[in-house]
Amino acid sequence: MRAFVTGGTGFLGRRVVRRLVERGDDVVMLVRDPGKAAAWADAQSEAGEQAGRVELVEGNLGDVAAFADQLAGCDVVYHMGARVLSHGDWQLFLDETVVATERLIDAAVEAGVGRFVHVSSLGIFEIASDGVTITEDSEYDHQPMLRGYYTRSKIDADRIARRAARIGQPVVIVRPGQIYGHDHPSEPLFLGRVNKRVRGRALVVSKPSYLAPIVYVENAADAVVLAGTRPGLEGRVFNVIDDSDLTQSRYFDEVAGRPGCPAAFFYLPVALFAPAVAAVDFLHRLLKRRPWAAAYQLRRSGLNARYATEPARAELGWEPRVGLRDAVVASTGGASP
Amino acid sequence: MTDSSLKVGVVGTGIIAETHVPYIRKAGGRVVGLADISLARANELADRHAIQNVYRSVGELIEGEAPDVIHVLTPPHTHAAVAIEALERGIHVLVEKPMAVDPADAEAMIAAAAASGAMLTVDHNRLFDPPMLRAHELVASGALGEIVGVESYQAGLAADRPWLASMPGGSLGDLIPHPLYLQLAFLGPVLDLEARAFGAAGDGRTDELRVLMQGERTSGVLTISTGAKPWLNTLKIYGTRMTVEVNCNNMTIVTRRDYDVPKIIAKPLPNLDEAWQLVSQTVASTVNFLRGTVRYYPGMGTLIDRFYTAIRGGTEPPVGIEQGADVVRVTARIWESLGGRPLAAARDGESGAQSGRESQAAADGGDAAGSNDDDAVVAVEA
Repeated sequence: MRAFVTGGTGFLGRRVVRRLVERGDDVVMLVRDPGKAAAWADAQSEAGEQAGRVELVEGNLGDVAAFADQLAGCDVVYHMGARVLSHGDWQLFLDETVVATERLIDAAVEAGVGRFVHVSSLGIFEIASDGVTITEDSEYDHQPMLRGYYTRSKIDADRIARRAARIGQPVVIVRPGQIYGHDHPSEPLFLGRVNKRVRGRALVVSKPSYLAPIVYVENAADAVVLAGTRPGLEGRVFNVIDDSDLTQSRYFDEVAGRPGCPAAFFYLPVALFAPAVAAVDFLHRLLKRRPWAAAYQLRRSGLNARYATEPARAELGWEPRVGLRDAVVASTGGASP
Repeated sequence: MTDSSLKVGVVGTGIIAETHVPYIRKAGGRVVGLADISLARANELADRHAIQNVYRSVGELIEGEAPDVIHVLTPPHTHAAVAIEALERGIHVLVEKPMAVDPADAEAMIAAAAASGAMLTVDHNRLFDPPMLRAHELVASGALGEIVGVESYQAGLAADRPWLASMPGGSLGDLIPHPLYLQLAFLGPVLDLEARAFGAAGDGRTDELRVLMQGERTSGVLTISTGAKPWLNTLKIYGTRMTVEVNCNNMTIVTRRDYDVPKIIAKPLPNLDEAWQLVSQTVASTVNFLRGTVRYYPGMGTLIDRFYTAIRGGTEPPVGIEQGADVVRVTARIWESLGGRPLAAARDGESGAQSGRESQAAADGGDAAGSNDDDAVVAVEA
């Protein structure tokens, strides 16, 4: 098999590329700077006797046309690339995430690629009420404008990938929850949506019974590779988290006291902040400003949602290979499982 | 939203789609998907209105969502292709005005609707604005006596749309449908017409267009002006007992009649009556607008609501296919009467070069699920 990979140098992408090479696939990898990625790529190719080769293609997602010819002869595209930075104009997110997805799918279909795996996110959904269950068919956030450019661009890109899936193009969408692992560039561990540390203890705006929609990076990589290799999945969408019923208290109990982690977690209910937030929000509207995004996001974090993953387990044939304890240990400097 | 809600698809996500979406929902429709040759533009609208699916063509939209109804909001010259594709699949269609540019396209749409049994209606929205509905009530009640003449007047400048160049008459052509359909509702079939184009500059460009029409029921005059300010938008109906003037910008209706009173007050009374009508209606519509019970393009809301009711109940659509086609046919006769040459509006030169280029780009997109539609003039209803 020959795979074309975007986002292959990223947190999740590195693992996907390694698995592909171990399977014996040849990987064509889009990179911004081949010089920086060369040594790592060579190391992958030498992973074993059966190992496939890694080829680097210089380019960026903002200009798909410039590298589209590289898709010829590829069997699968793994599209994990997106603009992940928290800064920059919307136009950059539009070009590098949304338009890039549209053009890349077009180019893959044009080149006759048999499978296109679009890696999306679980953060795209509308959480209409507390306790709602989210499935693959749940609606996108109703106010993406209040979610920040990254999330909005992921919503738009998901919508574009879903259009392709729904009209019969060979697209498979994988939507991992919050991915964690020791080498995550900013957040090795999920520590709640809003948290503050006070003398080694963490205050999280949440409730102990709330669920933690998280997936360990190695498990997420398994799901992505399955989406690209298992036959008959064209047009399917899979939400992927390790445990649909993992509560935040069970998760934080596991994390508490690990190296570099808070010794204990204390929960502050969102309701505590609601009046102050509502007041500021009201002021924003009164002054004819846009609604206050922070208010929207805080209200959102006060709503619990359960993410079902039955399709991932039944149709994708995915199970989290690494359990919670091992994953937390590995993410906090312990031995990799 | 219930299971019985109609599944509605919107094709063309330009400016007017912003207005359709809230009215679709208000009428009990569920917007299941958008289609536009530009997925990026469709995504913008989807983000603003919490719509889940976007597609690149009407065919994709039908395949992906199997809608019950499709609103065709693409440039006028693409209406027929999009509408026929939907009608052939048994999907009801609401098409923006004008129904088509070429009368042959209108005939093809009629044939497609007849063959499929699906309903087709045209967004002649101003027919359903509250004051216009009131005018029709007055006429039907006989309050005006016999109708002896109708005048419709539209001043304005078409918004700069890339597809204007594809319409005969350019931006002038874009202004014709509203005043024409408002008038045709009273004229009946047009037996004869004569159009004259006037240009102050004397360079062949037009800033005033007047059309004299003899209908089966009465006669009328239609005026398009690109120069007059403010951009009036009125319909006057002259009867043997009463005259009615509807102002589509301000959403008012003023009736004038003779009073059988002593001469001393026969002069001031009609003035005071007129003033009172304007004051009371202005207060009422301002209050309604502030309360949110009235929005821009209120007629569109009523039309969409009646269309969905017709679909559910199998009754007649709010605007009949022939009514829509008549606008296309009469417009074609207007151009014919002017000698069959394309008409350039006095202001077209300002944006003409750009329009042509964009229009070509849109055509190169290759698909009929085109860019946008827009009301002819900037909305000034308040």
